[in-house]
Amino acid sequence: MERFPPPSAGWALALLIALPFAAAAAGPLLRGARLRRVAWWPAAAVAALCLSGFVWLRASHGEVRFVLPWIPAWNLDLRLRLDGLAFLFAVLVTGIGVAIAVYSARYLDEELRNHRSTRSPATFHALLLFFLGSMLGLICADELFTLYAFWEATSVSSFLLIGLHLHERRARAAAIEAFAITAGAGLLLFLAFICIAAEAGASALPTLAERKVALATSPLAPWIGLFLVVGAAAKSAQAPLHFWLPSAMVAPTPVSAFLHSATMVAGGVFLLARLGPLHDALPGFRTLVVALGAITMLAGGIGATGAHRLKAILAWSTIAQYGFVTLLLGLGAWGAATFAMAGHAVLKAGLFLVAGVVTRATGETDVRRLGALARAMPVTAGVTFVLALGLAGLPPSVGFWMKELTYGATIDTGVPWIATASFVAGTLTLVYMLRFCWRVFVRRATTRRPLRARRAWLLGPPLVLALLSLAWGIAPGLLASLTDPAAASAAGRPIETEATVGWPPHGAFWLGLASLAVGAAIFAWMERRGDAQVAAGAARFGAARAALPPAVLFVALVRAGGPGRTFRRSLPALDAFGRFLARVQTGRLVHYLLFLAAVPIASALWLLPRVERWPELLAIDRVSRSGLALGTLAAAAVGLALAAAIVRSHIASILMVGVVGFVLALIFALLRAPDVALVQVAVETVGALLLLLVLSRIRMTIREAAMSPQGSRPRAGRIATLLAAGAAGAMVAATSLAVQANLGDPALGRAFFERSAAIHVDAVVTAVLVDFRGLDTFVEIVVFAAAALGTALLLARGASGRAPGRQATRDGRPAGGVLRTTTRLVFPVVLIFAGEHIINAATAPGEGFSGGLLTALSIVLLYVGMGYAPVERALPAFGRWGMVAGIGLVLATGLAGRVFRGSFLAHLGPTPTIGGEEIHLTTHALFDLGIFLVVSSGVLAIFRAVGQREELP
Amino acid sequence: MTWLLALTAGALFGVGTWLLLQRDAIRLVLGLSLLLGATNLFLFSCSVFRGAAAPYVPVAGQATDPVPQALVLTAIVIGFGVVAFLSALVLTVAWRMKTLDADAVSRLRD
Repeated sequence: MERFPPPSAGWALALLIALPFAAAAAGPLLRGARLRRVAWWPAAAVAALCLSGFVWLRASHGEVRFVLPWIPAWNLDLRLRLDGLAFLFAVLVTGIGVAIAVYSARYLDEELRNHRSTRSPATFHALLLFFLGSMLGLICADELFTLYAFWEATSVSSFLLIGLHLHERRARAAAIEAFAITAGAGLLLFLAFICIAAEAGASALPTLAERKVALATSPLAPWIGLFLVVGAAAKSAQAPLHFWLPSAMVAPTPVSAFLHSATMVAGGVFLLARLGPLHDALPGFRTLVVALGAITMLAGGIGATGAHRLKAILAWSTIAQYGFVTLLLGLGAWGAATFAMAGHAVLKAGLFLVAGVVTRATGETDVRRLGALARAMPVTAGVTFVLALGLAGLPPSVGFWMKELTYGATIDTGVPWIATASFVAGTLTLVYMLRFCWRVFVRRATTRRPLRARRAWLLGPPLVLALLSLAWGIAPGLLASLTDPAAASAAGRPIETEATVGWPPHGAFWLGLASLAVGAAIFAWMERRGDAQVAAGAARFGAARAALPPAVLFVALVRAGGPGRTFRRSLPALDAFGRFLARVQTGRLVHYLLFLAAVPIASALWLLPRVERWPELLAIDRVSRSGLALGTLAAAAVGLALAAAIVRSHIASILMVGVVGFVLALIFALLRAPDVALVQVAVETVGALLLLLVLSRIRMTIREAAMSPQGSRPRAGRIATLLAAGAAGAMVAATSLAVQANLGDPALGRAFFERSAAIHVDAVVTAVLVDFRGLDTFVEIVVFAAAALGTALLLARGASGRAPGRQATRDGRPAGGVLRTTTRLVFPVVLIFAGEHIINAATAPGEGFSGGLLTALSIVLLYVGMGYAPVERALPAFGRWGMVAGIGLVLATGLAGRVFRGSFLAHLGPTPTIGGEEIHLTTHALFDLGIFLVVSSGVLAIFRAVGQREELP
Repeated sequence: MTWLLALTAGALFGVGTWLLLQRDAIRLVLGLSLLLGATNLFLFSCSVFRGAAAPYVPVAGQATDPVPQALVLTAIVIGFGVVAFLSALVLTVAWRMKTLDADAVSRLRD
């Protein structure tokens, strides 16, 4: 076993990512009303701890890598890397996470109350931490499949958080929609990753960057590019997979602020940035991304202008802003793209938080019904204006520089339509942001709503974010120092962003100024005309434009028609298909068993004709004595089985099957398998006794009802049963013949004799069980213990669901004196035999299994002869604990073998010489003892469970 | 010997399957028990070599194959565990649903 590697920066990184997961797992432990109230600060503390951890790591170690070997044969390792890009996002995610945790401290209680939800804040924060951990893992992943694992983890946590209010249909539907889109596209992403790994021969990102050529020349390259874009687009809500984001706004505001504005939806563009070195290797990739970005930013802008609810405006705005980022990534403007990602995260998170404040204060979410709040909520108004106008691109906010860089990049391409599209989108940004802040705070209200007291606490986080955006706006170099290393990681070369206006101001500045002016004009016109007229005008305009095919695409995209409606309409069809498939589940056991039987029979029908050799036909010219004995026994077994099948009485059937078992034991003995015969005898005795005991615990009326003629099954059913039984029997017989004619190499069996002799064990079967195939035996006793435990637990509740403890006080007619005395005499003899089996396990028939079974059998005999209660009083109860002790003993021997001999379950022990002979004392005996404990305790646990319940016959 | 083992195993398996498909739950358990026995016999028939002696080192020359014997041993014990669990299920069903009819029991509710 390798020793743990010394602590290093790589392990520190891994620990930082594991920390939120561990904290999330501890979440449900916070029960109790008093603890509920402070549930938020562990979340904030963890996020803050991660933030400081990342900063410290970056400052002290620069770039940190972590590699955990996983599947060496496929070159698959778990890799983490903290480079510029990962650091930027780590700071954003953890920083905003702290803000969100603080915000939800006061926000969540009332939210849960308003929705009459039964979830606890502790669950919410645990989910939030789970998401935080997944996101951190996603951004630090340095290898394709590690990235994918965390990608899906973020999808799952998003699903859980959107559907927080489980009992609300809207929440569930939105969660399913979000998950279906992001995870469905995630599957395509997985496919792309597999193709990349297969073509390039590696899945670690640094290696991939070197093997670009192999990727570029592969025939799969266009598909890889397409799937990558689809996966990233779904995650970042780019058209046409954007419609899940507005629906996801049913989530609580902190969730929307954290996941669906700043972090999770950034995952898609993050992926595009992370795979930056591969962009030129995939044909058509850049064009696709640019087109995607352009369409999305326009569609998002139009959608946001037409949206009415606060959070819906912000959702569409997020779609549009990430359209900008996607466009920049496609153009290769790395510096501008990372700058925009960071700025947008901070601004959008802040905007969502103030939207939550406004909604909490007024109880209203629709922009058309809000107004004139600036006097009552001045600080909120100030913060909102700073954030909203900042996003629109007004100085001195960071948004101004975002827009500058964006326009600069689009102008630099030299393609006019790209610059035009970004101009239009930028104009729309101002329009809808003005709508957001002007409408809510300045404009005269159309309805008067009473203002509820709001908490200053809630304003804290958005205030901090607004101040941060201002700070970055005044000194953009601060943000550039974070984003430039990020851009450098994505581009593969150093990047320096110059956030300056220049003198004379370059084209981007004039473009920005023009877009602001046009946007303000459009907004003023919309305000003057009023809502209804604007809507009517848009409808007429839309109808006119519908005649133009390209415009139809836009209308379809924007109004959440098109892809959204198609998706929602397909859900009932999916349900119907599922119900159709579920018709296979008839609810009747016999049908399921017939289906189960059909599969091996069908496969046998397919396989058996392909067998090469068959044994010769039965030729009875010489009948040996053993052959005669075997034939008689076989006939007896089959005859008894048929009789058991036909006979009506339950007791008779049970006894006959028991005798069949004994006959089988005799057959095993004749086939030269004494150990197996012993075990079979013991098991059959115990089994018959168990079944009789079970029978006695069932009411006579029920039993008689079951014993009555079975003619009520339709004839088709009976014929089907007979056919299935006949086919199954024929299949087994034919398979056995086929196997016997095509036997394998005897070397395996013969080798065991040599190995057995080497370890001085005469009984080869015992040696195989305990020494050579110890792991199989270990698993097998665990399975047996599980079955015994399951039986005990299943019967612990009993008939009326009462807790156990009601012992059987009435044992029916007391057993006669002869039976009592006989069992008391026989029981110690059986115990002696059991002991002999264990002591002579290595040289004579019998080992831990038969010893354990005989011990249990002896005690069961006591139950039969003396009744349940006296035995329970006299003998110590060692049901469950015996099994645990047995398994523990075997585990201990195994681990001792691992530590001292190098492999699990290797036997070790001293071999002293006593009286001139070598005595071999190995842990073989301890293993056997463990088996003995498990088997005997298991059987006794079963009997105790069945016997303890009193049921009136 | 070849045919004997194969046919016996097949016959027992067939009877066991027939019992398994019956309505009476007790017969179901018995059918499973027979099925397990038949499978063990089938495993025995797969012995690669058969001899006149049991597998012990002193008689290694004429011994039989120890591998199927080891497999069958564990299979018997686990089979008992399974039968015990199944009989516990039957008992629970008999108590809760007041019937031993497998056709009548199709819902998990009490």
